[in-house]
Amino acid sequence: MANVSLINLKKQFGKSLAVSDFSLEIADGELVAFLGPSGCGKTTTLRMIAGFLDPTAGRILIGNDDVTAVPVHKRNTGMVFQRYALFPHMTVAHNVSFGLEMRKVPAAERERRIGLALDMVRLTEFKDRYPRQLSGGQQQRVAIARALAIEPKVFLLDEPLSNLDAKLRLEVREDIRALQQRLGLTTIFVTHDQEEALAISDRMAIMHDGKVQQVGTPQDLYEKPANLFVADFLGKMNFFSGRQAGEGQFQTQEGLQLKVAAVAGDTVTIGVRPERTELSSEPASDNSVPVTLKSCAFLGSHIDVVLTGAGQQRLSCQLSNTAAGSSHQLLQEGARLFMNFKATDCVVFSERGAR
Amino acid sequence: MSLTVDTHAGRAGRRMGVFLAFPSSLIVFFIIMIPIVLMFRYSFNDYDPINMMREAFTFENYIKFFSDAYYREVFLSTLKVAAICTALALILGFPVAYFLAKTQTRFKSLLIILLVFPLMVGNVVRAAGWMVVLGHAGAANALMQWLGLIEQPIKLLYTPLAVIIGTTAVVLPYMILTLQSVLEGIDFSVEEAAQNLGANVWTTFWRVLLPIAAPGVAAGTMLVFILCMNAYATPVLLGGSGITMMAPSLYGQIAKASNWPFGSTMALILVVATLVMALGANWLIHRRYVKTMAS
Repeated sequence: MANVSLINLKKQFGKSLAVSDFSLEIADGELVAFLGPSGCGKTTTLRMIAGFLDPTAGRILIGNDDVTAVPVHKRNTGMVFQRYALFPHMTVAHNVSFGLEMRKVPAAERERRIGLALDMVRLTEFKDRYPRQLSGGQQQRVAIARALAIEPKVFLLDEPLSNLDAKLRLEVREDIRALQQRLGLTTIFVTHDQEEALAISDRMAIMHDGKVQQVGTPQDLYEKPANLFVADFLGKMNFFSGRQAGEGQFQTQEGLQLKVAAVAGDTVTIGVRPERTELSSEPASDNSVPVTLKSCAFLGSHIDVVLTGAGQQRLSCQLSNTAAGSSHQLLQEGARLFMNFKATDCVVFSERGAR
Repeated sequence: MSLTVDTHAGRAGRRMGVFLAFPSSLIVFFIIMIPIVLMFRYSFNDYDPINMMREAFTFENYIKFFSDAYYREVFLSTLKVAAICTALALILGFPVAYFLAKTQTRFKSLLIILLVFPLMVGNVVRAAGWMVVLGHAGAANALMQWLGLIEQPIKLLYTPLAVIIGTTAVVLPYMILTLQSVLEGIDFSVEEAAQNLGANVWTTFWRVLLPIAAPGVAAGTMLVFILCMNAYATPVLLGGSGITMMAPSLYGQIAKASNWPFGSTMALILVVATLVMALGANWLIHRRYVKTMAS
């Protein structure tokens, strides 16, 4: 395994800029998720690392080797594709064997490594089956075994779970993380599913419009989003536009006076996560915003409440479905309530929201 | 209870379907089979120049065909031309079909229409076009002279080469369309997977793409080989006296020499040889590539 350095990577397709100025250091044995909406450049970046695309500018280092000009088949990366991309005319064992044969691994050693790789993904007894005789989850596990059998320097996964149903997705995801940690694989995992990225990665890079918005641990990104895009993309957030109005004070456009711990001179937007808010019939906590209840959605473990604030502003509140259920009797459509949240739970931004 | 009723209704419906399809199937069967059955019978008949065909049961015609060096030559050159044209169509057609299957261009349907277009022009017309190109003062000779490759015009028309060029041009669209329809269904990420695992472009083609495309290759090869074996207009117009192939030759026996028994024998030999070769090639390709996928 090796560390990976992306240095000022750029990719242009005709006039459109798919990836602009992407720099990232990925440590040996680290799992980094590239997360973003479709068309954000995450897959393009992964394909440049694998060598399927040539960067317009910038360099890619694997270990200490500059591989920018090295063709795909000599890069020694192990890639798992969204649609498995297993060879349909080969058995499971032959699929895994393919990369080893390309490396001229002697037959006996090959057998041993096929056995190890299939054992890793618990598919030993399926080695003589053909891909179409396997379920989607099993097929993707074969693809993982095939990619890892060659002992690649970097493990690349391109939306590996998006073709699987919910239950299998969780199972294969856990398999990938367990293997990655056990083998200390330097891994890049591309996904558009934030839950997936949050659950699996050491660090994640959130991308939008070809640009990296923020890189950090899942918790960092969630708790301290660097900009409105990250705040809004990762989970939900209620935003208030306005300006600083004295020490620890923020005045919204609608004239609400809010206590915000981190407010600064350049703060023009503040945000608060729906799960950090509470509802009550009387003002409570640091901040209490008067709201009207619009609708509720019962989602089992929690309840999503949609509210209308001052100036028809749409707000949301997430109440956990606790045994007490104290505030649930308040959840009547059209009820006039207060949305309460602490000054320390507010996140500040120096850019104005488009909404 | 309702289940049994449904099953009965289903079975009755199916029986009704078979019943309704029967008359037309019978007609189609006879339309296709009668000429072949008659030919088969004729091929055992006797021929003399005065009485023409006489009812008989003799293997004379078959013996004549295989013992006469001239007909053996006709038969072998037909096989050769068909094999060469099929191979050429495959080699030339595969890259085109591959491009068509993979391309994202919005002109794709236009390209396919262009490919189908020659099929709307009869073989005779296209062969006549090739006559213009390949003739003594034709475009091909003019071009080669202009390039300085030759000093005097060379004989192209009425040679086996002309027949091979003309026939390949006729069958190429069939090959491309057959291959393209199969390649279209391939998930090309397998190519990327192979390269990612260390295979170069060449290995990727031989070990991954070709085996997966084998059903298309088998179908295209079979179809094109049959067309080549039975080619008539192109060999007549472009081969002239330079090469004789089976279809023109057997037509000559029937229409010019009025030797129906021998013409029928040739027709039958052509049918059987075509079938054996086509099915043999199909079987080989399937055994080599497809069986593994179907097991």
